[in-house]
Amino acid sequence: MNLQEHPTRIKNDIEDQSLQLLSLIKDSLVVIGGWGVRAHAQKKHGRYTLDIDAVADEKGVQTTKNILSSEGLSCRSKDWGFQFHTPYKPSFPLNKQERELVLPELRVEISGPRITELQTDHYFEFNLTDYDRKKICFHSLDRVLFIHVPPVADLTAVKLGLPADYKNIFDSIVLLQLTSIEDVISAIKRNDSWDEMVLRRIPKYIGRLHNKNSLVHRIAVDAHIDIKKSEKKLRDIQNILRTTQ
Amino acid sequence: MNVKSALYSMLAICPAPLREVVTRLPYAEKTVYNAVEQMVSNGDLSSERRHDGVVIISIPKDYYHQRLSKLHMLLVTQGIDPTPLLSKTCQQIWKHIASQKITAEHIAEKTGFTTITVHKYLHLLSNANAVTIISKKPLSVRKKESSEPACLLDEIITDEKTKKNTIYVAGSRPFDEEFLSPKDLQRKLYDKPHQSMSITDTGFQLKGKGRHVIYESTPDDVDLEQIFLSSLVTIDGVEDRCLFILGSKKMNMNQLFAYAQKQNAVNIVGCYLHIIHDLSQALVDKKTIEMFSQHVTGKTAIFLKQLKKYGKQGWEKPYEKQWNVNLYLDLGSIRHGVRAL
Repeated sequence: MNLQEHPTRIKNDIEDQSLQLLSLIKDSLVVIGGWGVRAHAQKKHGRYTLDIDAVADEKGVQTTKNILSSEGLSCRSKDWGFQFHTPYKPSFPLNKQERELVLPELRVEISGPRITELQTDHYFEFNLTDYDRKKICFHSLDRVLFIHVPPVADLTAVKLGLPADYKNIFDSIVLLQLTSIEDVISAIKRNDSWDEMVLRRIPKYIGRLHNKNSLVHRIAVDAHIDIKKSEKKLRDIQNILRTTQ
Repeated sequence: MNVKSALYSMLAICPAPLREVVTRLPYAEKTVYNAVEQMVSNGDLSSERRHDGVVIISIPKDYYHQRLSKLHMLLVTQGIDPTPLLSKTCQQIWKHIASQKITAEHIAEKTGFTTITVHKYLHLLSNANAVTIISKKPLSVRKKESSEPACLLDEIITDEKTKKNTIYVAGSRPFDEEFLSPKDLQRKLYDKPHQSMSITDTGFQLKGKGRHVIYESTPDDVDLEQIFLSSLVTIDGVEDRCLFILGSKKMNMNQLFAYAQKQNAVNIVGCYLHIIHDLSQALVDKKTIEMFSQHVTGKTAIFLKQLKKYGKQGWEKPYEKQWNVNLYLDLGSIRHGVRAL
């Protein structure tokens, strides 16, 4: 049995169509999640991402809703915001093998600037006026897109308080290579009691990163990331947060 | 011995410059040159020009050709000419020999060869220690399963590709996973020596070309339901792999239930499916939950031991009560995994 990604041309087409959607709404929102990490890390971030996650103010959410609805996307209301979706339609004829694939849907997920952790009162709030402008390249088109993303320290800070699955851990250690511990601490501290979430998650982050058999350890090694250095950075963040709580 | 077998037997010892190959083998130069040219173009030999201009001939590093090389070495050192044993006739005959007794007449019927021809090859195979002769009149044989020549002949002649059951995953995963029998895994390593890869539970990892592939060694006859069950005892399995398997809709829930019962894992599997059902009803239906819930056992199980040291999160109680489990799962991570499907 194999678990493998879609054939490259389909994967690239999905991402290009997602970027095409993003190009329509990019001025109304700040992109977070996998695409945000990718915009900062570029080729260092080998992890591809299907959904576009973004935050916006009420006006931005409304504008996005209008644009995506007029593009034919359906909207699902979620406890955290809105999910816009449409079935992915390949932009080229599929071959016999490709026609047997279950194709995904294109998704854009928008919420307000405040990211809350379920079952807790802790939150992280993105500053919608303080963002970086970053470039993302299309695969098949000779075209680039400039999007708004949170500063790298903010994106790292939010990631460190999210559940300790391999994607969040990998994203945060990729981002930690691009920023300083001091900036990350400062971003965490700006946000209510987000430090408590980070302190809750970091032991798991370190534990999983350290385990040679874990997915995150293996993909980090493959991405030429210095695991010991990353673990030390996480420990340093943990120690500083503990002493300044 | 024909020139091709001679080339293989020579190069099985070590790679050699083309000039040396031509001078050392007792065949006409033209014959050797032609054989090398043909075998290189077929992919049965590799040729590489060194910086000093010398052309080195070697046996390709992939699994099939390495087995072929080993068989040549094994046979010539036993005083047996590999040529007839690797002929098309012998290959046809070999495909009909199994661990059960079979007569020469029966093989002749199946292959269309004369009984005399079949007799000749069965004796050659017997000399090579690949078959055991059960009776001489009528001549009947069976495969000598444990012998090295028989294993090599199997690998070379019945070179069947692994039946693939591929689940395609949309986006987000920077790696692929392959579940292979030890033999197929070995074949992969030889066939893709430069692949970026790691083998689960061994700590063995190689950076390399292409997307990272995680290999997991499994028994020959493992099925999707067994992979799902074994993945439920790992953090990454619970938060990632099992979700993709459920998302593929390829799993037979009755089969999963049967395995879970056999391994006393009904409580854990049922509880996990229930949690996933509550996160996404499209992934697990209610009927499946009911099937498991009717067979909850009295023995409390810890799910998942590796996460016990991090404590509980506060959401666990209703599931713990219904399924008689002690829960230590990271619901946020599972939810993130479900959302990414």
